[in-house]
Amino acid sequence: MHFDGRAVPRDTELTADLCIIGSGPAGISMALELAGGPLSVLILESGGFDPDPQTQALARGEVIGLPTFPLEVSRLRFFGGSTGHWGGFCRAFDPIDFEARPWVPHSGWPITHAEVAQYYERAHELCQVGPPDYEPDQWDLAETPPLPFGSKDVRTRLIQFSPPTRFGVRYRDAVVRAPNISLYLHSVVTSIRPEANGKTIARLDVATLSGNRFTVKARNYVLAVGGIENARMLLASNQVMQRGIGNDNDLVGRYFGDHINLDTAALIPLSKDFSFKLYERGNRSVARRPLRKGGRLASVMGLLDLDPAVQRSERTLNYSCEVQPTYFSDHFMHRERYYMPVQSDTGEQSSFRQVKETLSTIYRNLSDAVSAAFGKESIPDSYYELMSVQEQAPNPSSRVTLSGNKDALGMPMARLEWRLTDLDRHTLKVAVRRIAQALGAADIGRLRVSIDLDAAEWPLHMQSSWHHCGTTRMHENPRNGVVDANLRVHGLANLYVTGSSVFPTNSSSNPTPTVIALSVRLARHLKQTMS
Amino acid sequence: MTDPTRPTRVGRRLFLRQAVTVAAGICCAAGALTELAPLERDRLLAALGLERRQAARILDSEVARQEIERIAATWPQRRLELAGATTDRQLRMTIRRAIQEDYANGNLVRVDGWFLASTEALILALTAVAHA
Repeated sequence: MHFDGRAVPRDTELTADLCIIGSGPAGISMALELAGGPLSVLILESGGFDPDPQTQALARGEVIGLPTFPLEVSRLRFFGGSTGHWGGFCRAFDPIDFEARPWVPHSGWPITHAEVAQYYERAHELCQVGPPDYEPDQWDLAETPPLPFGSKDVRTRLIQFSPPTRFGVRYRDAVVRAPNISLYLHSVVTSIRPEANGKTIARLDVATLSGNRFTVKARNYVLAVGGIENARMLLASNQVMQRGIGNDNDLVGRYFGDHINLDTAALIPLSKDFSFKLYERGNRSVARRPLRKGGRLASVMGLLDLDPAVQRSERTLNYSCEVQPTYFSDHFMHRERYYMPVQSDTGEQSSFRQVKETLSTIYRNLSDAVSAAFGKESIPDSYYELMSVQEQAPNPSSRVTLSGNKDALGMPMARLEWRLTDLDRHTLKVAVRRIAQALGAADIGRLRVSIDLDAAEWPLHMQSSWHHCGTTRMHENPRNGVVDANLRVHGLANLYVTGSSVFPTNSSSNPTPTVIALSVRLARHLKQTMS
Repeated sequence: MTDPTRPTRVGRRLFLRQAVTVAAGICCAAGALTELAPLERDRLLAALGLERRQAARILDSEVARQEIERIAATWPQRRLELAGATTDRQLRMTIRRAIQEDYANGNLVRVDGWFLASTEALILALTAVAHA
């Protein structure tokens, strides 16, 4: 069943066994696991079945620190959540991502890769893709072979593409028709209220943009509203616990991470005989539909990444990159294409830096421009652009806090301060060098870096990836994490958090399958313990 | 069946054009800013072992010859081969092996954004300067 929160009689107290706050991929995955079961489940969604600007405006916030997208752009507040603008990239985290790596401060998950891996199959089902195989040798790629690297230092791995599944469309009926699930739309949680002893959650305060108010009481609560909003909600619920819920050790909101997305280098092939089709994003629906061995057609794309042995020996983070075709005009103009108004690393507006980088770009490409205009030889018909997508080092200074500004319902907005470390920079430098080396050794091509790898600041065209994570990180010790290995908030008996905010580290893989895997795991845990 | 590892002429030309830019960048850094004549392009090509007919011209340059000797000295096992490279083909193959060895061992240099094998960069630079 589904209800409109605006029509709930004012000051009503709704009850359920389990209340899930949020209906993005995490919340819906949980609901599907619990559908038809003995537990009564109540889902609170701030938006409706379709987006509306008033509700979306609740996602507004402040951005300081490194440039990133406006918060109301990178998140969606309606049934289905961020799957509404998801690109469909599916790839599981690697085993090394779960390890405590001595060279990566604050790394290490309290659960192993094997523990999560058993839920990836279900996550892939929900994303409408086949089994989670990412190694090229598991696929028939005769028509789109991976590049023939001589060593394993740099390797090709695959991403599988979801259609992409819009969870709000695909699973609406399954959720709404489940007899034990009540979905409340247009219902915004404004506060999580603990008992006076601070050991359990007593109720949720819910408001609507139309002015209605009611409460929800449940045996257990799950917060599933995204990498930024999970932290905001805990911090803003400070009526009883002044530092916010689960924040005794000042960890909520810290360790914010995203994938560093950077147009890094031009790859000039030495021969047209090398096929890059496997790596090209644009052709995936046609050329990129190989037959999975013993299975059905699927859409995949190749990425280059660093072998774990290289990560260990070079003491880097996880790293991967796309290899995308580009043309002279694209290369010449890419700074403009990716331009957006941003702030510098120090938080100051830096128009001088923008001008400097633009001039630098023009200068770097001047030789190409002259050749194109006057040269006897034709310009290269294609380059390939290396688009880095790398893990971010856990950084307590990179964080979500509360802004002094409030939204339409009186809640403090989120303030995002994205910060990177020297390890992030080190990783990029090593990775680019290793890829150049591998390309040269195999006589595939040469690499020309399009950024200053030694610069003190990150290039202005660096982008975040809308993969917000880490702000309620998982750790067995409450001094080092907000939730435990079962995703329960430390010190609270009946409050859980799921989604990318619980990632202690964020791999270089896209987060959606892992978000779903963890949510399915939590649903099964609750089903077992609550029944 | 086409060997996917065999460079094509288009690929070689493509790389050559970029290589000239690199060499020009090195010349600039060395204070030897000048226009490269078409002849130098051929020499660059030859130095990289990409065109057999022009390979001999590299040897016209005393500076380039000395540089090849210097490079050879850093790889004793190559020294004898270089000294005994009496034909264009032998010289080209020896330089090519040195470049491959650079990549395999991570002996890379970064010049004007390019990651090149150190042998590759040295030959490009020396050839360009010698004929400037």
